[in-house]
Amino acid sequence: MPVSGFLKVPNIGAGHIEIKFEHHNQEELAQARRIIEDMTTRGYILVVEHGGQYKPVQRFDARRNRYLLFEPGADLEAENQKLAAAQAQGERLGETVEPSRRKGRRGVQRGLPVEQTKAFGVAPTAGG
Amino acid sequence: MLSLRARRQRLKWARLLAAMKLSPEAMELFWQRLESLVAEKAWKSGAWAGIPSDCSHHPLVLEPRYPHRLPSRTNQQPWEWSPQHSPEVINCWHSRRGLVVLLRGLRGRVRHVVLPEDRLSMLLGPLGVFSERCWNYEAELTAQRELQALVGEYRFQAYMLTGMFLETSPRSGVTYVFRRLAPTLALRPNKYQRMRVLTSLCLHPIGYYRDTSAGAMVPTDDVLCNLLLMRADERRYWAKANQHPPTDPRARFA
Repeated sequence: MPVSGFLKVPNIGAGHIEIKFEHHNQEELAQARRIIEDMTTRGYILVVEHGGQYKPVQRFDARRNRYLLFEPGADLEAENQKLAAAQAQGERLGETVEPSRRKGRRGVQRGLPVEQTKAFGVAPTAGG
Repeated sequence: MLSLRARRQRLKWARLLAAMKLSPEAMELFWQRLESLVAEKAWKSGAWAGIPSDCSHHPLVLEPRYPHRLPSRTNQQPWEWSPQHSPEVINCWHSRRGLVVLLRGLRGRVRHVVLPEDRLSMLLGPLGVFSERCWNYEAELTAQRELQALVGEYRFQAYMLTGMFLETSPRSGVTYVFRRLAPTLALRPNKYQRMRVLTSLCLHPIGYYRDTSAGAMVPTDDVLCNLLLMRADERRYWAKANQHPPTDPRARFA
């Protein structure tokens, strides 16, 4: 599995903190998982790049190490077909598409593995 | 408003710095060492975005869930209203005459005050923040490299030469003007295809320095965060940002 996933967080003193996800290093993967879980509980907004677009992360699945996105209005069957076609060509491996569990809003829940996803973390924002 | 404990801590810092009587070079080394220790502590305590420094002339307004801050590098304490003598502010808004403030005095009488806009202080505020070394120059260079990777060469050159760049949202059709050290402007063409300003969106990660357009992070990191939020979740971006009309001096539009 190619290693290209990272999480970048703008930092006041250090510029940018970059957390790289390496599949073979389980200890660092566990530490990165703890960091992401802590960020989501502290109100950090995680943004991932997918398909040339930037999308917000709804939840982080710590058990399966993946970002969960909610895409309202998307058709589950159409998305599954696109994903199957891409995975047949060796792309978007590890990505999952499931029916959304949100009540009252139709859409799909997409799971992106942390090892293959480029993500950015934005600190809790104050007005101005 | 600072708690009694926070005020005591600041006074302790000021007395300690005054008693050390270090040379400017030694003081600079002291602050560098302190900042590296703080950065290490921040990493362990969960302040992933770092710990901002306070400024004596423009107090730091932090996001409520972000309680960490460094003291100001000068020995001066940030100027704060005394809670015992200040009247209650009922409401305030900007008008053509200035800042209108409604106050309720000690006897319950409501009065209004029109304060002139101090645009020069707002304009020079970021210089005051810079003079107290609240920003890290290396962090600004890193943020610029990151912005270049996100927006491409053309927009990055526009940002470096003019301090701003444009991006149109494919979802809403709104054109955003991302500016350094100024709120983001939202534009949309009217029925005559002339661009008009909808509002200005002011948003800073972690916090900002009061009465300035300077955020706790370096200016390009502010632009970066605004850009990422706009691209990812436009609704949340508009919901979280403070919206200032174009006539408001805080919009930095005119």
